[in-house]
Amino acid sequence: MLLVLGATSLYPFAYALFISLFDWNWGRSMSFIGLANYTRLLGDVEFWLIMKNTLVFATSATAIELLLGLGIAVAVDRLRFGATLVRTLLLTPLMISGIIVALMSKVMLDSFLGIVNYLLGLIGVGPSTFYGTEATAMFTIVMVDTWWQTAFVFIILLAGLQSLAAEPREAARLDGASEWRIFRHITMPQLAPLLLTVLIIRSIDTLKVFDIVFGTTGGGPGLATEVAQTLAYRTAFAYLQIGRAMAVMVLFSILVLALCALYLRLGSERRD
Amino acid sequence: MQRHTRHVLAAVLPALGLVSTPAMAIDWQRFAGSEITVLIAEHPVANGIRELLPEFEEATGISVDVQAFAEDLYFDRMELALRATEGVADVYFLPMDSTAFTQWSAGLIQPLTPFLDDPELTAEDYGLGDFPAGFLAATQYPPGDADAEDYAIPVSFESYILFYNKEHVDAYLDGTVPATMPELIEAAATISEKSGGQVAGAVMRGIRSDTPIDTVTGIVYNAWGAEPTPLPYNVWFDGDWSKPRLTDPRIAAGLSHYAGMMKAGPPNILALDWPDASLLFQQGRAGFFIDASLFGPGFENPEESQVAGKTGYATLPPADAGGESFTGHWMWGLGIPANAAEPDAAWYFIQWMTSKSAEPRIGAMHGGAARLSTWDDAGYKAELNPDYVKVVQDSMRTSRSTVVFREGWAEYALAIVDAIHEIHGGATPEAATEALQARFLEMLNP
Repeated sequence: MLLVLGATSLYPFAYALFISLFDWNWGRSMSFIGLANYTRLLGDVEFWLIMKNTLVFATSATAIELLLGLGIAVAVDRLRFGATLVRTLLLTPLMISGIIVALMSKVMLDSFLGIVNYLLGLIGVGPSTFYGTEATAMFTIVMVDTWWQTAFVFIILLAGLQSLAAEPREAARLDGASEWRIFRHITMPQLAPLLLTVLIIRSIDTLKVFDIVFGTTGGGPGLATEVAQTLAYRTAFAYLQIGRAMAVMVLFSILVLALCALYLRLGSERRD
Repeated sequence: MQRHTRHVLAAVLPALGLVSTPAMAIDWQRFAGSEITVLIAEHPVANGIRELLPEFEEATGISVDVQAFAEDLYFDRMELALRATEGVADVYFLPMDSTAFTQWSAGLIQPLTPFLDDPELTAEDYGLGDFPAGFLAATQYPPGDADAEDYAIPVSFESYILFYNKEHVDAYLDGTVPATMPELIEAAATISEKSGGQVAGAVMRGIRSDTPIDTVTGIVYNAWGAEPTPLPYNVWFDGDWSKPRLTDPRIAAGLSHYAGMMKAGPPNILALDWPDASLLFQQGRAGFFIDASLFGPGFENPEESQVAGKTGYATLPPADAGGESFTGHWMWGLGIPANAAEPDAAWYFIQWMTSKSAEPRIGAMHGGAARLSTWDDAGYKAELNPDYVKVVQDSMRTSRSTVVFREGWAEYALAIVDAIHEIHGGATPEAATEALQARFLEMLNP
């Protein structure tokens, strides 16, 4: 197990760390430059703006998806009829790959050719720019990710809800507790470990967003939607600065690891 | 078939007019039995190659495997193939810009000059001089060296020209095509306004990416004028890498013209890359479009285009009244990776596909033939809109390469696009170019 982990995780990370210490254009000569790639990145205003964008996207998308997914899961859990059909329909977005979601949304939200603006036009609204302005682009990307990934949160939490013991809730009802109090004091504490797991998975997933940004705005307008992964991709494959791209990924990995450690600490404190 | 027999047939059949070969001064069967792989982007050139492939294989005995990828995928695939320990491709579709320069710097491509200089490998009538010197200069390394070698043969070129929708120009501008760049920007805004937003006055590549840089460079050349812009620095540096000259008023004007066209564009102009922009024009939803001439033949295809027969062509309107039009050009070429397993057979392939007889046939599929003689070929011209042919030929008279010989130029190109976005967002051209100058200096001295 350790060997597999080492081969698939630790070795690539160590290799990335090693490469990040070089100036390498992906050619045959590499020059050792120590921490220069890191000092350059950490002293670059754009880098910090991009990291901020990454965090804004990740926290917004994760929060909305968790709230929405939880709400839908609770609603579907209470359905007496048609739950299977609703569940299947809600899962449909998950079957589409990220880049297809990106391209579809780009066409649908186009200000001239898109169906969304056409429909908005029928009620006298628009045309809206969606991906076209700094003010709206990030929000649009968050909404598209929400449409795509809420189903993941929903299905996990629904499974969790359906596995909870019914007796405590039934006893509380007999004692006259309101549905909100039952949810707040019985359901949520039981669901908390699962919520934490979903939170960690969605946080990591949204932090490493690439396809939706790459397929829609390319990081623009300006730097409004540039995120860590698109920066690393651009640095590696457009600028051919492999060492610097690796430095981006090392710093990004440290951020993700720190976040995971924080979540796990919160989880263990809660258990204590 | 015995190799000897094939040699005899190779000599006899063309003489009888049964097989057309570009030239017979060399032994085209010399590498018969070889198998080569051609790595290429899905592009009209790829279609042309596929069409001519049976003739090539029959005449040379070389088997060809064409591996084509969508352009987005192609770039990554190309970079990986060049770096593979064992050769993945023998011939590849090579962007004749800083990408090729970076590949040369990294030792990833082979010089073609040794093949070109070898009379046993290159037909006497191949005619390298038929390609404009300015085209070939884009991949001659070391740059500026008297002994510089050729690393690619151009297979398609694009100059940056103005496309306009004749119906919209008639409806909203009384049929008058603007004569200067400021007039063009004003006219584009007029179309947006008069159409009530139903038609975009202009479409441009507006997305944050380095891909608009060649179109941008063409428009900057137009504002720059006749003053030479020598390589490797091109227009952006004053003869030295430590001297960027982004604050030059002519560069500020060029960037401002690009931003001005974007302002007359659709509300989501900042999300448009070239497929989106060209599609909007092709669907008849835009008045003007400045971009690669290669889009022209597609606009004239009635099966795909709403503007077939309704598209007008013009060289870039001069920056000032009474001035001259200038533009830039960019090219795809064919090259041989350093790790190619069959470089000799690969050269035969390149030579054949870029020969005087093959180029008009492939060129007719994209309208960007690189040989001067092809533009005099009646068969080639017959496939294209005459106005398109005239405008492209006119543009070639003042066109300069958009290439900059600098590794990692894409990062600088992106900074230039950012400056255009700043101007589009309301910054003055002077302020945006001053910030751009500072950004360049920062990148040059990290």
